[in-house]
Amino acid sequence: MNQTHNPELETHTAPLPAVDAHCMCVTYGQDTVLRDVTFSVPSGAFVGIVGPNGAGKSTLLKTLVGIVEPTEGTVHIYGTIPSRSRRMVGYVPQSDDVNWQFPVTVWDVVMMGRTPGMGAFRYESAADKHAVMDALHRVGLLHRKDEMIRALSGGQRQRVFVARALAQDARVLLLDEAFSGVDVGAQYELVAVLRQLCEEGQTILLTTHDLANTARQLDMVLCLNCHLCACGPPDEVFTPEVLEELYGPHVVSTESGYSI
Amino acid sequence: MDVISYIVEPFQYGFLLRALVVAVIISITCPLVGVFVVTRGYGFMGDAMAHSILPGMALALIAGLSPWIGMLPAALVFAFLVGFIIRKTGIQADAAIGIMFATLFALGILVMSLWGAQVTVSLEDILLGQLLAVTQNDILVTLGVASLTLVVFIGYFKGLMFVSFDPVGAEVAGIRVERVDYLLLALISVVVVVTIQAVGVILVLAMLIAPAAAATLAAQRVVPTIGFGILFALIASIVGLYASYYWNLPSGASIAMASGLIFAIVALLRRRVY
Repeated sequence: MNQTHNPELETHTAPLPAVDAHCMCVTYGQDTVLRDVTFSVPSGAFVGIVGPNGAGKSTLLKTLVGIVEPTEGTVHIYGTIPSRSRRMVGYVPQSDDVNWQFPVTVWDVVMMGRTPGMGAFRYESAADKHAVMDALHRVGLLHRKDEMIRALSGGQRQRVFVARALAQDARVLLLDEAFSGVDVGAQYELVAVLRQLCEEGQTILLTTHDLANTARQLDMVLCLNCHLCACGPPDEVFTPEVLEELYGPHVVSTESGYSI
Repeated sequence: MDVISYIVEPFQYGFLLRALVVAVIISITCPLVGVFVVTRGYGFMGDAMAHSILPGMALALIAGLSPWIGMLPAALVFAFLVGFIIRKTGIQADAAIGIMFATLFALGILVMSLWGAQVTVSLEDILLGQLLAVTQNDILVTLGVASLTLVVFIGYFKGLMFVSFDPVGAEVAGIRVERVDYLLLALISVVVVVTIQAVGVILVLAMLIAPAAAATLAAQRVVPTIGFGILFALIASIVGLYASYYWNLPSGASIAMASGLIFAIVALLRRRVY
């Protein structure tokens, strides 16, 4: 695959996929974390990445944001390699990776999307402020902009980080362990916000352990266990065979979902 | 004697005026990095760093040099060795800090006891500081180092903030997280070194942590938190210096005590929100 796609030229022929991975392998030293992963995510899709712990879900996200380079194969975000498309990809970290003791307000967090590493002598422009307001409005948290981030619930915190990605003008949103520490009611709220963003043209990929509820509401699921076991709409890919390949023989399919 | 002369009297003496100048500089620099030390759980690191400076300081004094020449390299060596032990052995950071803390502090005491007789400075001076004995030269060095710290801090402020709050997100956004973390450690080293001459090795935390910790209870955002930290540190310094003058108390201990009392007052006054 050609390393230097030009998105301008290609949009006239066929729409570029938001994410396009081709025969991608990632190895850390001797360990192969991802093996021969090929998939394509159309623009505007709402995608889940499922699989057991150690299946390479976080590594896959890291390759999409350009922190980890594939050892073999290629990955493109709208035709560009990830390390050159940083602003196009917004990232929502795992809750455990965030220092909630740090004194920042909701507004400060979303502003980080506009000014990553910006020197203190550069001030936020009116455009930056407008983008932050707009992003907070889209996730329904504008009225809480002056509160400390640690005063918010788990689901609200996730929405603030989604707003940060929107303020950054990201077209692809990645959420790592999107629903950990988020109670069931707030999960539905978060999914509704994300679904709305997809309809507005965002492409969203999230990793989750929750096969029973949230994974079923997505357009597409990538089942990952070092290699790609299955890929497609949840009703098609969650077959007993795939579930066994992912989690071993103890996961059974029930009428309402899947249980262990 | 009226109130005004009570306030003015101590500073007729040059040594107290010089002490005040150094105390003010320290009160501005400590909360800058102190807010990051407190919110990132680096308190033990700061304490250990202050103690591990002892051998460098002792060797410089014995060699007849200014203690400054020994202190800063010692702090940087400490930070480097802690990082090295963690990477090589994989043990927990606080254990690695504890090992270097004890070993280097012990080395300092051994150096002092073997060759310290030649030195006019006592171990007690190093541990408790000599704010009332600072020279014109000390003020210039303190001012220079503090100004440099301030410029670097302001220049990297947004990066420091992003990395301290969300290191993974910062890395994704293209910030070199490891570089920013090392920069923070270097800034902590410099501030600790500057603070030691005022309040000594043992009481560095009184200026580095207590005002910043009180400030995190008083404010909700980083910049106001730093502002409150500076205010609390200034109050502690000035109250401590007056107490030291009028009641003939050791200056370092007076300032540290005032700093602890301010924390207690803020903690009691603050309504608990979360």
